[in-house]
Amino acid sequence: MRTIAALILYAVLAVPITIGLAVSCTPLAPLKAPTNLTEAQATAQGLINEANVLLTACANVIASGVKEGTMPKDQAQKHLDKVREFSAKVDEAQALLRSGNEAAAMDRAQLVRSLILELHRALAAQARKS
Amino acid sequence: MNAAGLAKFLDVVFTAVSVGLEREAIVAKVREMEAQGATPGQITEAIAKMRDEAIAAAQNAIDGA
Repeated sequence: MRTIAALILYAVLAVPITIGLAVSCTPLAPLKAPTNLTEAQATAQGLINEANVLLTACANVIASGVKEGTMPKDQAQKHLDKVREFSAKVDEAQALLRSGNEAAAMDRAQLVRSLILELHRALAAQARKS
Repeated sequence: MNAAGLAKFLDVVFTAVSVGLEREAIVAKVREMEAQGATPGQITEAIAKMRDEAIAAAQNAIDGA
């Protein structure tokens, strides 16, 4: 009986798992950076663009969660405050890049990217609890 | 897989489905802009603007909840 229940559970989860893995594992072509940039500058700009895309996605998920009533207001505000905090860091990375400090810009953008991924996990945990 | 392990695994799935699909939608918009001839510099600006608009929209949703 337990085996049958496990099989049913896996069958039910198979579709979202397949979609989830497909979305998370499919490498996307990098967003284009201006062609007048050096390779290092273009890499840093690509990381900054990607970070901004991820932050936009987080903000959209928060807005949807609040509108659908699946995310409590206080939790949503907490997550959005993090999105704002990381956005400020991305803007700092952009400013560093514009001032010609591409190595520092890349370090900052990479750090922010890892922080954003942590935020994604927190949002997912919230979605599961709701 | 125990309950905690399954919950953790589901977190990953939720992350990929919710945030991942949002990301895909944004990247699709960016690709459309590229196809319409926007320069990489314009796209960089547009992405930053989209981010700020999304933050403002999320704040409005929270304030209105």
